[in-house]
Amino acid sequence: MIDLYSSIILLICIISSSLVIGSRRFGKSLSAYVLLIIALTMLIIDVDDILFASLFFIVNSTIIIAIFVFYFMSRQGIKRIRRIRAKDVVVLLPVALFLPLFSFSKNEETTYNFNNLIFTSELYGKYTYLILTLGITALITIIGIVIITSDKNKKVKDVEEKEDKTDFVNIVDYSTKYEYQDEEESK
Amino acid sequence: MDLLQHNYVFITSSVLFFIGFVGMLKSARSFFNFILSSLIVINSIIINLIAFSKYYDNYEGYVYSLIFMVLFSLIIIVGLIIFKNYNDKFDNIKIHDIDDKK
Repeated sequence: MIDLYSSIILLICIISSSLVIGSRRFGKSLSAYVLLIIALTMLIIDVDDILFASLFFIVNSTIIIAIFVFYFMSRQGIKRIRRIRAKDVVVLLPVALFLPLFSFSKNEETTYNFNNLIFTSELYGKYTYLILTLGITALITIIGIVIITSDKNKKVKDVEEKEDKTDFVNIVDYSTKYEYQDEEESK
Repeated sequence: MDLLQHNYVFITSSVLFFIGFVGMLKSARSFFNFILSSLIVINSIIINLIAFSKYYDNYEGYVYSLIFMVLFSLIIIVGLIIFKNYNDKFDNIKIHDIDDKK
């Protein structure tokens, strides 16, 4: 029997994987892939232990970071870096935050075991993972926004400097031309 | 453990495998879409391994899925490095060059 939770996961997996292969923009496809990984992690939590799910999530997030870095190092990424909007990457983060919390709230026992495993005490309570997830997501969002905006500002500065230099060169050229014309007229 | 409990896992993994395979065939031009599609296929295989190992109460599936995860991630990172070096060697265009062209 497929209950509501499983059907939601199945729907998210199908939609996000279709977005990954269907979208032309890199930002959209990568954020859809992040959503797919989160849905698959929820599925593994539902089937199995949380430890393997966290391993799965860590390995896949490392791959995502590697793809992101190599995309921006390649020529294609440098060309398209202006077209990527911050909202493409950030728009799915609230969903990405909500879905694991939903899955953890479903299975309280795994959350309790995870807290005991990581912090070896009950002082932190069952909201530790909530606070950790919130903090890490906020940090990643801020870093992403700062990187995107700083890169755009740097490019604008480079273009402005080049425009200034070209204006100066043009002025020098015109001045030499006029001097040359003056000399010819005087002769 | 009933097979029907893991039925949706098998459905999900088969659907993901099919979508990833179609994406691999479709994305001939874009290298990164090809990599993301291949990752979808790999993840579907891993989920299938986990579900079957849970169904049979056999931990070999976990071990194999861990080995597959690490191995495929290494292969993909090596592929990315080769792609980056290829781009640098044959088409090395920097930001200043693009600005000059515009």
